[in-house]
Amino acid sequence: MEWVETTGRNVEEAKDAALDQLGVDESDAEFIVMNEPRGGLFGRMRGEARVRARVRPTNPRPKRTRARRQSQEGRAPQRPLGGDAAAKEGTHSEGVVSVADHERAEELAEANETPAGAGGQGISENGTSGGGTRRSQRSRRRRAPRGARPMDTAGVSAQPVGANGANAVSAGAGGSTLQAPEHEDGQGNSERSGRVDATKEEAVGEGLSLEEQGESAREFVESLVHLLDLPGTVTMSIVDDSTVQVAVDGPELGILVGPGGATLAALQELARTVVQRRTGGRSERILVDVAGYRAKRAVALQRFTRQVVEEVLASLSERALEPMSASDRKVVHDTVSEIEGVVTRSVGEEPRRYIVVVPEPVQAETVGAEDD
Amino acid sequence: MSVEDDGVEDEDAVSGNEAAGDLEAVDDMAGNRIEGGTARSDLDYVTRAIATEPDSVVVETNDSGRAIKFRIHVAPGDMGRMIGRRGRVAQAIRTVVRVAGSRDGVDTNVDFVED
Repeated sequence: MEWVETTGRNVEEAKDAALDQLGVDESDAEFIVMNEPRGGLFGRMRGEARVRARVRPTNPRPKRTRARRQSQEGRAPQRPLGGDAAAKEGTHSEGVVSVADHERAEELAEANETPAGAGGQGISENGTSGGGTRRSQRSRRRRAPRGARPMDTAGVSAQPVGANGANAVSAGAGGSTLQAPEHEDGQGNSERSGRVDATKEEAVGEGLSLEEQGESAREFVESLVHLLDLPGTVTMSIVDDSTVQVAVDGPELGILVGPGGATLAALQELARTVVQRRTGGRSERILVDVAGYRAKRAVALQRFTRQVVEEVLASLSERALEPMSASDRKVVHDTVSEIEGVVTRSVGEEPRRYIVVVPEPVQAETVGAEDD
Repeated sequence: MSVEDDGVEDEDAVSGNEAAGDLEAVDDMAGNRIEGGTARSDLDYVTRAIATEPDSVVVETNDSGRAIKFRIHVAPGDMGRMIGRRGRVAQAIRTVVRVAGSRDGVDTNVDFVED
């Protein structure tokens, strides 16, 4: 899996930039904090935050993840390990904070970032105990259907579990509430395991294979389409080894796309949330498309981006674009990165985060990506 | 590949498996009998599919105003899940319910309430 490295004034900003480039939600990404800015006089930050990120890999076990990383990340085999552990602790503590209020969960998560990045020990007591419960539950569940590898299940604890606030809260809800659905999943899993070949079994994230996650998303979207009394067929396809797409096709589906794809984005968010509930916090990348909208929009956006780039190159002055979703921004970033002499920068907070297209020599430093 | 045994995907499974004690939900699954029925059944389906405790999901309806107001009660442990990071899930639910409401020509308003 490909890593991207980004910078920002603080870790949060660098992470956002990384998410832009990856075009995924924070819960689908994995971070390594490479460098954190230190606080200076008058709140000025000295140095910049630098993070490395990638789309979270399929396999939840750190052993193999590390092996894969080394084979693909020959650039810096030593440094990431330390930083990686810190980053993992960071996301881990985010994942297990046991509070009912999601905003507080976010605050805590942010607060945890600093010590975690610096020392890797910045887990609140809360987080630690929550993590313990969750971990043991997880081991039990994973062991039950497969009956093997207690060591590997222990390793799951080192992997970030559900990096976002929503999952954190459900994790914090504690033992009894999680039991029921997990039990269900466990059963389904053991029943299915006969049909899944060995390599697939390896790739299972939290008990559901990519294909099963896709099917789960597909059924959810299909039910919703039927509830809305819309005609349409819903199909699922595997895009790559960590991405599935659910596609709705049929006449008069404009209502499911919505203005600027807003309804489509909502469908995708919900489909992912449903799959994450079933997997217990993590999922592969789950895309939803309606009537080929995504592909059409990407093509239009590429064309538009190239026009903007031409203008920027002609005028040598930067140009800000409208706020866009992370996946749209990824299309723009990708398009611009193929063209010499211009770079992109993301500015602002979600959901009004936007891209600035910048002529390269002027702003190269603040953009920060190591384009060596 | 079939996942039917997981019992959360289709309507029948939802009402049969999880909403057994919830008369309101069973009633609404029957269809469009009430105003904004599409929005209501849509909301029921989505919230229960997201909740880890679907039995605890209660949808309160108030259509005295201009828009139908839905108040969603969920188990405390499910609240964060319903709202999502930066409110993204809640917003997505509102969007989808608005679309469903537009099928019946009604405006909708969705609030999440912690019990």
